[in-house]
Amino acid sequence: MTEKEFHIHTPPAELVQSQKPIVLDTVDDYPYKSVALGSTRANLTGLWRYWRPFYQTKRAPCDAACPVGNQVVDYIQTALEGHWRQAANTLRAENPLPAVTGRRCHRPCELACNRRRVDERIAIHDIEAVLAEIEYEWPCFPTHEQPRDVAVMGSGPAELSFAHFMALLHHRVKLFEAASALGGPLRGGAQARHLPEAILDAEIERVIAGRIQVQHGPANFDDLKAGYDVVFGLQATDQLALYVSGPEGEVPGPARPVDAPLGDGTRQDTTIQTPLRVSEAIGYAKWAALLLDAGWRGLDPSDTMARIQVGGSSRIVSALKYLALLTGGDIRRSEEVVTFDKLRIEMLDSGAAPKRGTDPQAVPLAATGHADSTDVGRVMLEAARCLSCGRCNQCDNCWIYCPDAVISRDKGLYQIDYDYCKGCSLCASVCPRAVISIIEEEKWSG
Amino acid sequence: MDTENVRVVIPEPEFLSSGMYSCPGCMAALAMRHVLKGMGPNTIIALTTGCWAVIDGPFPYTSVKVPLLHGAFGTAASMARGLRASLDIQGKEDVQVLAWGGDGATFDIGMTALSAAAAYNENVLYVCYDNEAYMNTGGQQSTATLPGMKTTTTTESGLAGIRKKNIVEIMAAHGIPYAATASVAYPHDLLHKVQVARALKGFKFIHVHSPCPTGWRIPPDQGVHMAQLAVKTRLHPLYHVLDGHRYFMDFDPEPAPVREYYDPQNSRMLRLTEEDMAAVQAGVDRRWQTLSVRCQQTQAGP
Amino acid sequence: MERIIMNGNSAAAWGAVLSRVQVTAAYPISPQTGIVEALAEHVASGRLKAKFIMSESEHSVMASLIAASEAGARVFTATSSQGLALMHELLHWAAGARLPIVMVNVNRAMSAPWTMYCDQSDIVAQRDTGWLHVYCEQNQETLDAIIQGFKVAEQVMLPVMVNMDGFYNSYTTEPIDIYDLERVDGYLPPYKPPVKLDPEEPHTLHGGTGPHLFMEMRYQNWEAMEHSLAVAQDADEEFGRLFGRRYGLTEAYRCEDAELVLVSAGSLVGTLREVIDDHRALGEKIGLLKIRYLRPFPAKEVRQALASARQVAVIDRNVSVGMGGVFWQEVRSALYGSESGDKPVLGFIAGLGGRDVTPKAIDQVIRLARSNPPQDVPIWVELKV
Repeated sequence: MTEKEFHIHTPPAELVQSQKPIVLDTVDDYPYKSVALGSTRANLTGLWRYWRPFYQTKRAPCDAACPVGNQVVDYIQTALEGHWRQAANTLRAENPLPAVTGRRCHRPCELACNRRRVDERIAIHDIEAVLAEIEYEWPCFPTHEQPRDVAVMGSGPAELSFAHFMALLHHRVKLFEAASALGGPLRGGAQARHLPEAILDAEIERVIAGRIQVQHGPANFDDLKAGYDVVFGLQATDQLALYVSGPEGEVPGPARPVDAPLGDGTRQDTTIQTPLRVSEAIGYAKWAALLLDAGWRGLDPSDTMARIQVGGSSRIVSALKYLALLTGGDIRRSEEVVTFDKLRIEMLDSGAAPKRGTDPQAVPLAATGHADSTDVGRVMLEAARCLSCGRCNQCDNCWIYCPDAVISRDKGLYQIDYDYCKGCSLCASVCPRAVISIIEEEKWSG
Repeated sequence: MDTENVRVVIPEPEFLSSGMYSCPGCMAALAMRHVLKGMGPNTIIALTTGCWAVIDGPFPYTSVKVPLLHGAFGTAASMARGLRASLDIQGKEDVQVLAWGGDGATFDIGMTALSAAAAYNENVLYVCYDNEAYMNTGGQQSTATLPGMKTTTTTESGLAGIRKKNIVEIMAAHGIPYAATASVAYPHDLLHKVQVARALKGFKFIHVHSPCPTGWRIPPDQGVHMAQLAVKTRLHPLYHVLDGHRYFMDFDPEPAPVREYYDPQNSRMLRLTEEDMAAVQAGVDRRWQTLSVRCQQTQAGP
Repeated sequence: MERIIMNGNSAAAWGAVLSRVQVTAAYPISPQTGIVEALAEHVASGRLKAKFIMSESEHSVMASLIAASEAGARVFTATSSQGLALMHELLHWAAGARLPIVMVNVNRAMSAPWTMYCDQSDIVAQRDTGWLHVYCEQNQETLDAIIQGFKVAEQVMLPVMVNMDGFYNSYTTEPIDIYDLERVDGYLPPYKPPVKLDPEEPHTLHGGTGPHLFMEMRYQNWEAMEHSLAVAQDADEEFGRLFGRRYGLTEAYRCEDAELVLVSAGSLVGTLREVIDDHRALGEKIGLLKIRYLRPFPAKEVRQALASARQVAVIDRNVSVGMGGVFWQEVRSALYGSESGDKPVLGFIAGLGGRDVTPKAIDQVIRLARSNPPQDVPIWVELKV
């Protein structure tokens, strides 16, 4: 061998982190010993993938069971994160009378609650009642080119709900009540003791004040038909009727709301015109109002109903989904209901401490004398038991258990780096609440 | 769980890059990910032959962001001794040394080196990731293989042959400051143990149970589930031993029968009779009993 | 500087002390044990500021030293035969990892039959591991070779094996010059590896290397070994200037007009010098070629030294069963096809398992050589047949 300059080739100080493969052409490119020159980021393990995991918010059974179309898990989890006002907004966006339903609903949500299969159902009604006391804002719907004149006869839960949603959608609403006080069957009755008058008054005032004209005294359905585009109210037949000027004419509705024992749990068959319970009345009226409004905005009513329905039932609709539809927002959310068999309860005790933003003892704004701080604290501890079925609550399990560290988290949002995700789907298997779905990679449409 | 009294937060920084050469669902990769989070950047790893020697990436690539030394088979503990001496003589006593080996490297070929490092109370942390066989070479039996499990070299029916070594007891018998079991299914516990260990001087040993979906012929998303079952069936109880004689139970869940761990791994099991399963259950129960007694004795005080 | 009476093992330990070794790992094995004990004492007394790892096997010794060297310390150890063999896989590793480890091997025959006595079969079996091999004739040379060893190793980034004969060197007491540390510092600067394990600058070392990369990595070992010829030469010359002793890669003793040249390595060379002088006194044209470096093999010097000889006789204190002595093979290989390749090169096997190689035995070698025996099989000296 001829004398030539002898080199100890050293590697660069910084490890290359790019995705470009390292090429060593001649011996002079090689380090003198086998020391790494770059990172495995050059190895795109995402190409190995057969199954693709992805985040998809799904529908909790409480939401699916609620006749009003409440986003129960959304408002509970938002409250637990400390965003009280946002939680109250979410609640009020769907349900105009939470102080009422929190005390007088038959609670199908609690019967459907997955937590029942673990220990005890969540006392959702208590949470709803507490959040009803928080300052809120009604959602802001786009204005109408041609607002309609709406007459509402009576002021029971159905009528109040109908009036509220019509007003929300920028129509001109006038409510006719024969009695001196509003509320209809909400005043008196077997369940009245659960709903103190003062609370009922305050709740109705919130719906009415500055939004809905009220006229006390008798009114006649047929008379009103002449002067209004829509008339909604209880008939002498004890059935709700909906009149819409135009070819449809009068549309008979279900029977007046009746007192039902709280939480009796029996299912309501909505195909039969049987008596409605309080929340069913609110929900029915909401559905009717949104359906009408959709038609007036030039949308296909049945298509719209399909897009804004909750949990697979065409009669239970979400005002927030309707708002998103009208404003071009993202309403892509799976309505697949997360039943108990889809949860992975055993992953709850992996030791991951649930992250809760604030102290539930903190008294929220504008508590209007409903409950003292102890009650609120107790109620929020109860809320912390919510499993958040189908909705991510940042438990971090997916981030914690990913063997390849391809999940990053940023301000409560998780992202999978698909350049490297191998599709092992461990993330899906450790999500206690079925938020992560998997699909064959070749079927993914993005 | 012991960690219920301690709010264990999993630190954000990652010390592994994506693009690792591990199989999808590899629990050994998850184990390293969490141990490194617990160890921090001021760490040098002595890595011996096994799955992790491949996972890390071929030359000239690496997935590990702390210094890492590959070495021959069975040398994790002896390399760790060399690292410790070298760092100390250069005044770098604060740099952590992490010896990393699989069950094959630790229970078998590296046993003598491990024993010496423990006996000399070398100031290093040794973590063994246990997938219950020589997985890197295709799944031959090791002395960490459970009785009744099929490997490429145990193919007859029944329980003949293997009694899984109780490596933590072996380590405790060396009187080391800290010996513990851990599981990839309980990362907060694992992390806590790493953090406790690195703050101690002397030889620390953590036995991390990390299922291998590929080798165990189970779907890639089942690793954590199986690891949980191993703990709940008391095949791999979570406990730690201080100074070789003070025992602490870290997790005492509602027990599940050993069957629950064996049955989902049907393809991995030799043909076992009811008597075989009963014998396995009896062994597990006996060991749990001993462990409980020791924990109670520790509680009772000297 | 101090001149102290001590045996070879003690001298070897002093070589490590003067080289300011930082980490040593050791496992005792006869006839090396004195080195381990001396090192322990040097460290305990503070004379050597180092960490002493008491390993549980030689395999672990080398594993510990590899790691210690990778982390940036100057490292040293000693072993013999069975221990050397036990660390065999790691010898390959250390060389492939380009680590400047210096190790003293105290020659001992490989068992079975079980033995503790001197021969070179242990070290020559490590010929292909990629280490530099230095064969020392006497104990001062061993101490000096250790110091030189670090200097060479740390320039070419290859490990160095310094060989001394068990019993003949290890347990023989001689006067040894112990140089002042500061003087050695002037010759051997502190160890500064180009790459080391350090959290300040993280590196991953020795990940799996595929076929498309391995040959070039191994080729770099080849280049380094080639270059080490010049480096070893320079190191030896500089040592000579500073300390008054130089040894060369080989030493040709009275070869200029020799007709027969005897070739060997190790303590045997000391006996050969005496015998050569005796024969020269009788007017015989006979010379001695001492081979000091087996790796890198100093082919040029060997060819030069043997250029004018008419006959070459290589005496091996080892045998590769089936072929012959290793030095014989190396010399034949070096001469083949060269201008010096025109003469018979005879091979002799002597002194296996600690059998003394006396002047009488060497006389027999010379007689046998002159009887023009067949060249293609080795001749076993003083075999009881």
